[in-house]
Amino acid sequence: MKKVFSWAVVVVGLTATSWQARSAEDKEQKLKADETQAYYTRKSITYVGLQPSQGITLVKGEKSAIEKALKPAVELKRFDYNAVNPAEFGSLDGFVQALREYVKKRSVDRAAAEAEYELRFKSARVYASDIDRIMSSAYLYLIEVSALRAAPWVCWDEVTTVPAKKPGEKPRQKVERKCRQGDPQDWKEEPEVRVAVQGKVVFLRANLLDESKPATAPLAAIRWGGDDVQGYAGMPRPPERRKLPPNATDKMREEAEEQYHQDLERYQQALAEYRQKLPELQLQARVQAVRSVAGGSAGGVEKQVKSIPDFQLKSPVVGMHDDRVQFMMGQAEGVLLDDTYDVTEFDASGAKNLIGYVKVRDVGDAQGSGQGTPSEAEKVREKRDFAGGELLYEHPMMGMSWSPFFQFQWDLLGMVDEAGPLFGGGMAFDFDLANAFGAPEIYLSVVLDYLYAGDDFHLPHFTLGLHKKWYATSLVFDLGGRVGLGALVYGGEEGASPYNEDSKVSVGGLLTLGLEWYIIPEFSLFLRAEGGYFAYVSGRSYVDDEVKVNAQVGLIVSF
Amino acid sequence: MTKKTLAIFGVLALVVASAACGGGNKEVKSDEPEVLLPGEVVESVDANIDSVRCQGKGVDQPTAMTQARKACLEWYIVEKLAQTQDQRNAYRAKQAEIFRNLDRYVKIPEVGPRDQKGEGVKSSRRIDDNTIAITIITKVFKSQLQGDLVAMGVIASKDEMLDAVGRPTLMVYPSPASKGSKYRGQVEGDLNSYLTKARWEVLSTTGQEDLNKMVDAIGETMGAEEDEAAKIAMAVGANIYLKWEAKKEGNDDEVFYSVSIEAYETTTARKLASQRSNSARHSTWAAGEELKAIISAATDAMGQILPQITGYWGEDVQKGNKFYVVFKNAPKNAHLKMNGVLKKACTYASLDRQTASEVVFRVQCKLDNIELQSAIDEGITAQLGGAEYDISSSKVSLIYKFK
Repeated sequence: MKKVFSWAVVVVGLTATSWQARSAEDKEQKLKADETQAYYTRKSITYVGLQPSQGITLVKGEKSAIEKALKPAVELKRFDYNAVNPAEFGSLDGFVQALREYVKKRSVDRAAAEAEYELRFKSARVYASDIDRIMSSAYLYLIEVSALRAAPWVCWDEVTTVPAKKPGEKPRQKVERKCRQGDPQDWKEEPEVRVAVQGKVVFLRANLLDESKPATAPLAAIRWGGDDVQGYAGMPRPPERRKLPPNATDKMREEAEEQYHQDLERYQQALAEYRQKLPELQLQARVQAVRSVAGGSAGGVEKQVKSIPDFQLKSPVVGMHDDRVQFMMGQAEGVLLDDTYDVTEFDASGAKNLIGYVKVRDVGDAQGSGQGTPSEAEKVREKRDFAGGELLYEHPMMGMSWSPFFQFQWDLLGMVDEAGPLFGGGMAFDFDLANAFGAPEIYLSVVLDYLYAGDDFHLPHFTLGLHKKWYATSLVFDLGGRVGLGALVYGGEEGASPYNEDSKVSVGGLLTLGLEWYIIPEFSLFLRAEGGYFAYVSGRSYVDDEVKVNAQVGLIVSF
Repeated sequence: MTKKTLAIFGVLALVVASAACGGGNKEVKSDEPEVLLPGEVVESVDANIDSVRCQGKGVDQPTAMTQARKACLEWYIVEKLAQTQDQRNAYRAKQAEIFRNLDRYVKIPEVGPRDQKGEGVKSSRRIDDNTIAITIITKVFKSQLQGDLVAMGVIASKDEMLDAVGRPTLMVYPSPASKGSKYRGQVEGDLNSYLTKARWEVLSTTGQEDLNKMVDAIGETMGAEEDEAAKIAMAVGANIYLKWEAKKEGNDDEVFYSVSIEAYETTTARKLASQRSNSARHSTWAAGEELKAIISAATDAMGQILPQITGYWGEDVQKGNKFYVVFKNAPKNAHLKMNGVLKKACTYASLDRQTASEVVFRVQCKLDNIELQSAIDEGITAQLGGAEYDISSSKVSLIYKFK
């Protein structure tokens, strides 16, 4: 009976305890917002090193090249960093244990500081939020290199003569590019190092609270890598005997021979030095190639880091006016002009629905306490009216886009015999410069376009310029200008046209006015009118300068 | 102009007039009071401000926010301030007028902090194509509201009500389990300060020279097993004593406090109200966090128990003040004679206990303690032949010790 009673007491005690615990939860829950009003909370993150897989040896400079390229892509403003040197600890577990001890020590320091504060140092009340943050969100990351292949290659142009196919035709010379693996053996060979790297950026979450559980749990892994080729200095060219006129004197011959021997001696010395320096040259090229691969991967890594749910910025819409929404994140989280956010709302059942997109127009200094100036974002797509209180989720983009287009140009000056538009196409690469200029929607544009002018004449252009966009929700107005080079190229049979003696190069510029329809952040359609002038600066002036008035229609694929 | 033309003009005029008067999506004004969603007090911030959680619906967030704030206001008036149905009806009649001053009574919640706690929009969901429902936590300025409602004649003044019936004096004391708490001084100090700010008269359990003597005297009367808090309340003269008990919960890293406060009427030992409140979780490894937890829970519980005390006191004390009257070593038949004296002086008198050494009455009189003492003195002179005695008295007790 006593035993039953004891058990009853225990059960009642536990029930009461759990009820009280639940009550405390209830109150905390009442004070807290639900998922529809969630905010991004700052995370702390620690870099724990670069780990090559077994069998991979990184040469001097490769480690720092990879870290220098990839660390900035991960260590975004939205994170805080722990002041712990992970290199001092043998293993990851050892490091986490040290982090636990560090946190405890800081806790004690803070407790001491707060105790002091009560008495004297009211202004020294610090650390509380730091410790809370570290305790609740300690993230770690490491860079893995799972494959690295690097090899020296040489390439050269091999010229062969192609016999004439028809009587009367001259034999043609054909140039063929050939390559082989190995060190350079001839001065005509162009040496290079080919590198292929594969790796991952691995994110872990440290368990600092419960020492009985594993030190870390995997969170995400982002692949990086690619191929690159880097050239380096070729072999010195051997000297040649100076050609002498047939009536050259003996003295001249002796002097020429002496000069040749001197040159030969210098060449042999240079060749010896080159062979001695060859490993160093190949090493430098290899490191440069690895740096290039890592650098090329950085943008993608950054985009994917921002997509990891734990790290994705999110904030409720706290205010609305005109065509803008306000949210309480800003400089502290690294919010940038032109950043895109998904606008979502929750229905009564708790399901999340995407109802539009906004782009950042003004970055505020909103603080974690809820004070400060909110950031503002412009509506760029609104599937239904925003009512306020929607939740914004970061939609990571790299700020680049590729736009293939079809174009036609009015032949205003009768460039071709048969009047009518010239047809062609092209592609544009845009790079968002909003944060460099401090103003939204300014892009650097690099455009390659082509027009067929009839009768085997071709009009390619390469232009570079700036343009700015204005949004009226999804309808975008675009104004810009570019300058660059153009050409008139004859591609037909030799002698078939009186104007085919040479191709002509032009220099000019143009103004653009466009309309764009924003569909999703990755995809838009556009219609653009361009007008410009290209003056021919080379070749014979048998045609007038080009006056461009063309129209383009295409799509924009953004990354 | 033909009749047909006139008829066409007439129809057109009617169409235009009806469009001008009733067309479009104009808001229909009604004299009916608005129907709003209920709320709840999340915590009592201080004596003048309560933190309230409410819901509102609207076509967009500003509209829903206004509705939620109105809901906070209405719920607070109906549930917390209006004591009678008449007062609730008076509020409904003046709802529109009160809502016009919404900003004066209910704060427009600021944007919440990132830890998502505290005031702000707590939830936002779409109910249908034209409605979103939001939940907010905001502050209700209760003193301001109460003052204006009294001025408008919606509710009775708290002062008037309490002054009319006599404002009870309070005493805060720990339960035996919390008596040794290291936070006792801080908790009681903060609670007393909280009550004082709310204009309650708080009696201290320290600083009275004869308190121990008085407690001993009461102890002899009440018996050693009686609640120590009750004895001290009797000695200091508190009408009501508030007994608090704090329980610590949590683990090595986090802690929260569960504080219960029970209110007892001193003279009758009747429990008037009890309230439990839990603090949020606080870290154990930070100095001062435990104290914050216990204070937060204690003031929260106190904020919620006071309206219950007010309600009881407002109704019951209209019958008069309650006293505990003891005659020690009283002459023979003193209980019969003094019963007559007390019944004449008071609205209610009851012989609580009679032994060879003492007679104990509990009485309720529309007199204060001095007036009652004077009436009893006269009674002793008249009924007990002027027997000599010593008297110990407080605001709620009178102890006569005959020589």
